[in-house]
Amino acid sequence: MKKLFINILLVILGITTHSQVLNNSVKLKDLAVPNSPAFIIADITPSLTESPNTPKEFALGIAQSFQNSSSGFPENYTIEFAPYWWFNGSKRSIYELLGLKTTKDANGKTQVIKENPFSGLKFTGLSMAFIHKDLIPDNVDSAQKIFSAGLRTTIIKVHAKSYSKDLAAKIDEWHRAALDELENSPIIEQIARETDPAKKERLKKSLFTSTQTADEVKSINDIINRKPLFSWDIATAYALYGIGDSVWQSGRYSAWTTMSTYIPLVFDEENSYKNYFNLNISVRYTLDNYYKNEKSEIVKNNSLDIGGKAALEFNALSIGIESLYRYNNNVANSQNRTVGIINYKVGDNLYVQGAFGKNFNVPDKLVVFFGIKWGFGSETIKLP
Amino acid sequence: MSTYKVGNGQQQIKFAADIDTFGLAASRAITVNLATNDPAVTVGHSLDATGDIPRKEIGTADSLAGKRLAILTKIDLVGDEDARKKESKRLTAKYFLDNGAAGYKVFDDPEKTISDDFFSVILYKEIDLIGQP
Repeated sequence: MKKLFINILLVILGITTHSQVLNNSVKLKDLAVPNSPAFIIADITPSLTESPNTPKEFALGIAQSFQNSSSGFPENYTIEFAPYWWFNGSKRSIYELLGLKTTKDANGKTQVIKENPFSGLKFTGLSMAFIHKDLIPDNVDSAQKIFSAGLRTTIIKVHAKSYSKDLAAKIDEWHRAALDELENSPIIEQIARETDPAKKERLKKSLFTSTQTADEVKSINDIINRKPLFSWDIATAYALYGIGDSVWQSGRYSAWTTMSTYIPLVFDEENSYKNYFNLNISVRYTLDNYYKNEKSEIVKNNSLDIGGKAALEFNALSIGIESLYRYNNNVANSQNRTVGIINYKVGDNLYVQGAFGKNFNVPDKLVVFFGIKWGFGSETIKLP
Repeated sequence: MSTYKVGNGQQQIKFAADIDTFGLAASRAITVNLATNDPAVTVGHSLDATGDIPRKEIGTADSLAGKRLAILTKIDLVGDEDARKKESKRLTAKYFLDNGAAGYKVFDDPEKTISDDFFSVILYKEIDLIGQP
């Protein structure tokens, strides 16, 4: 009980201290290339986003959103899609998703040759938003019609040589296990002979309980989560504001780029994917035609944020240094800082964090915080 | 219920399956005679995790007439829950039959069963093969 109380106290202290120091400031992760730049530039996090699979679906969706609107402009319509797959749908496969270059053998079986470092270009994603929102920070409380569009892509992503080899082997093992499961049981025949639809469904669902294929999927996910030796992502977005019924003004423009490298520190089989030297650089440029300055005037403002991180990441421990520089209209901003950060993984999804460094906001001001952070899972893998 | 007229005769009926997914997929196709208790016959399976069954001859029209062709694909999805949810809704399959009395025919409406956690999907298609009356 006492231990629990201390833990709770530490969490509260950690959150409070962290909040006091870093709230209202730009964080390094804010500079990273976003998945949906059109939503970020419009300050929205839509819960329901359309993903049209064909140009026809795209056109129909847009037409319907206009048709269903009483104001002549869609109320809240967001779309995200990767155009490449509109025209190359039959090429979709796990090999394409994982960026593996393949060929077919004489029997028609897929053989993995190597990783394709430029495969991310195929997943270049477009995002669009049609919303009503007040993005002009004046005294008039009136929502504008906002149209925003964005693009995001991975220009290059390359892993160690073993990545494609290990993936190919595990994918083959998964396929063998899944096929054995289908070959060795009479389940398909039972389904084919069953006349009761409910029983048919139950039979199909019995295939969800396989532990062998689940183990293989876990191994595949572990390989996918291996850090790339080098990756370079870019994104850009533009927002147009509809003021009144007929006036459209340029609102905001943003561009992001992130380059990362993860160099393994240990090369033995077990630990080579857990110990890295990580160098990460992010740059974000934003032009805002409706920016509220310190004098509460609405002015045109451009900001350039440059952030970087260098860290040694070991199994449970990570020690690094983060720097962030911000320039508003070419003048160095007050939020610039350089801090050393230490993270220690206490247990599953539980981390102790500490930071110490210099904040350029006020001369000689130091950034210090200590806290505990909860997380869920390890990493996430995004699909297009 | 989908049907395909194989007709009568010794011509070989050709079959293929194209599974459209970013997931790991494995497929097996069988024919089964519903009028008897004879065991099902495997007529095709995927060669890799695309889940596709390459175009192949699955038997003569005479031997297939009156049987049911059943194709089942097991798909396991990778990624976070949102990605799996999207892909499980989107993924689909096409099945091709050729050289029967009905000629070339495409079926693109498999039944889809999705697990509650969106990790697995089963695609299933039945096509009754009909002889000439």
